[in-house]
Amino acid sequence: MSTRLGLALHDVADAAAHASAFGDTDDGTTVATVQRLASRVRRRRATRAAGTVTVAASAAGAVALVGPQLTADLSPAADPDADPGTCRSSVATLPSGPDDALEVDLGFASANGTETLGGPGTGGGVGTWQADSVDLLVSVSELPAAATDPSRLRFLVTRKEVVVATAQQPVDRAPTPSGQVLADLYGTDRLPVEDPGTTLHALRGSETFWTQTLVDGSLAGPVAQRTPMGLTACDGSGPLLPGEYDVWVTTVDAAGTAHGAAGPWELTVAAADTRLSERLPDDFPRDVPLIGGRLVAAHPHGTGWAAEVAAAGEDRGRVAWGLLADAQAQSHDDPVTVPPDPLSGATPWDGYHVDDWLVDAIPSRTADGEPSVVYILRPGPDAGA
Amino acid sequence: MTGRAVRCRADDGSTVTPWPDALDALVRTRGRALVGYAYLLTGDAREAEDLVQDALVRTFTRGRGTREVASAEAYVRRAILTTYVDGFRRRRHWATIRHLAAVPEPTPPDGPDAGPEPVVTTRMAVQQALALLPPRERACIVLRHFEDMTVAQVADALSLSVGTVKRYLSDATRTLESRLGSLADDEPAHHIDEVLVDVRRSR
Repeated sequence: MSTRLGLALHDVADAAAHASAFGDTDDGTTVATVQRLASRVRRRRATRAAGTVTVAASAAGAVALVGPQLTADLSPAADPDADPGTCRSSVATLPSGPDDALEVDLGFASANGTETLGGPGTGGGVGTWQADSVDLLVSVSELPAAATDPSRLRFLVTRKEVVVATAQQPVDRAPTPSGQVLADLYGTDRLPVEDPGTTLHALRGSETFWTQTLVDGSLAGPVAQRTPMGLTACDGSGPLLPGEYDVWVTTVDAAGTAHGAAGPWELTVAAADTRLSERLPDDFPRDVPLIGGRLVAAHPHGTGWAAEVAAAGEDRGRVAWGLLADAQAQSHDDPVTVPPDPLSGATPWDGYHVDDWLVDAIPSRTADGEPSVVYILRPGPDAGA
Repeated sequence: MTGRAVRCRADDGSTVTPWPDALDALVRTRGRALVGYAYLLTGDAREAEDLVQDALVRTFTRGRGTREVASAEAYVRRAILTTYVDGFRRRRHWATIRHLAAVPEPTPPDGPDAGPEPVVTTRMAVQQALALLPPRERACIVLRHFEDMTVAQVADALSLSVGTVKRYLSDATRTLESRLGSLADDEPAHHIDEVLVDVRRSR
């Protein structure tokens, strides 16, 4: 006896469709679902439009240009002569033959410290960033058979399928069992290496490290490395413009030949606001710099102040801390030592010492879920002296 | 959503619907079918709905959903497939749970005399067998046997070589047959070398 696979697949699909309420005209949630989808589309369209700039039309000998303007997308056209995986090449030229299987998961460390990781197309992509680099998480589980040693893992930031920025790191051709990685990290007393887990190809470099969350002492969750990926245009034009991009990954051998392609992961470069949307209260400390964005609240808080600024980007905390560190350096002849990550808890931390205030800046979200930075200002040790 | 019926004419003469209306119509008329299609790939109802929503957003963000519903649906299906194959379901995750997948007993066939029980049993067995397939093999099986694509069309849809698709189909068929027993002759997946000259039935 035999199974008719085609019929069975249609039966499975029909049953799943019947069981789902998605799009059900009799289900009251459908309206909300469609509205939510439309909102996502609008946001992404708006982000894409942000990368489009308006330039004035001009022409040699024109008498007077009044009014007419052209809207030009500054994304470069693909260079047909560019080697695959290089600046201004098209991702369509990346090799995809049988020997080019490249299995990579990418993710990012979010502003609140949580980490996400997934294959191409997964929900969060590699996040939204407003400064010059992404805190990327990388996990390479399979390298192309065609790759040779030494090879480099090359990250390609693309816009409209054209490479506009690149970054790369050497990658180990020899795989490392993830179980061994975890045992090295946590000790075999906490994690007996009975299950070698999957194998991973490590990025070389002292600035990277493995990250992993143990669940009940067993292999669970991703094993990945953390590495920065720059957001500077590869044509020398400076930082990438705000907008929506994709990230692809390939490998490059010693001769510079690309092998394999994985992607895309979505990446959003947010505009870095430098001003607040509204005026701060008149008596808010003027020397305490706040990140640019929409001022959500600013009010007295005990003997100090509290403020919240809605600002995009998983790096909004880093941007805020950088501003405060600069202000601290300017306001004190003998600057207080500042830990690189105020949330790390590695050292006792009173806050940035700016003027007569101790200032904490904490990445957060508004009540509506909008990314924000919350500031807490307390009188410093010299206040009132 | 709205009762608007605003349409305009594209340069090529076809009718263009404002994208919010097109999105609304597509979700209401084909949403469930899209979930069913996605379910064949993910094997999980929640993941299937998430996959469909992600595909809808991608399609309409890129301005590809504003023609007739059937045309828009084709773009969304392609986006579902691409998103899934490119990693919606992580291969490593599959690899780590593969041995945990239930192995169904061989099931009785469907047919004119089959009652509802055999049909349900077969469906569950097929679902469990599909869960044993890696993502690319699974996608090949769905395109070949659900979408009725030729091997060449499957290769084109997945950006793979014809030889690779043949290998995936062969491996997948072997896995499925090990769980389901032989697959019926009207499903040509186990005659991989012949599929290129097969005349597929119209859908």
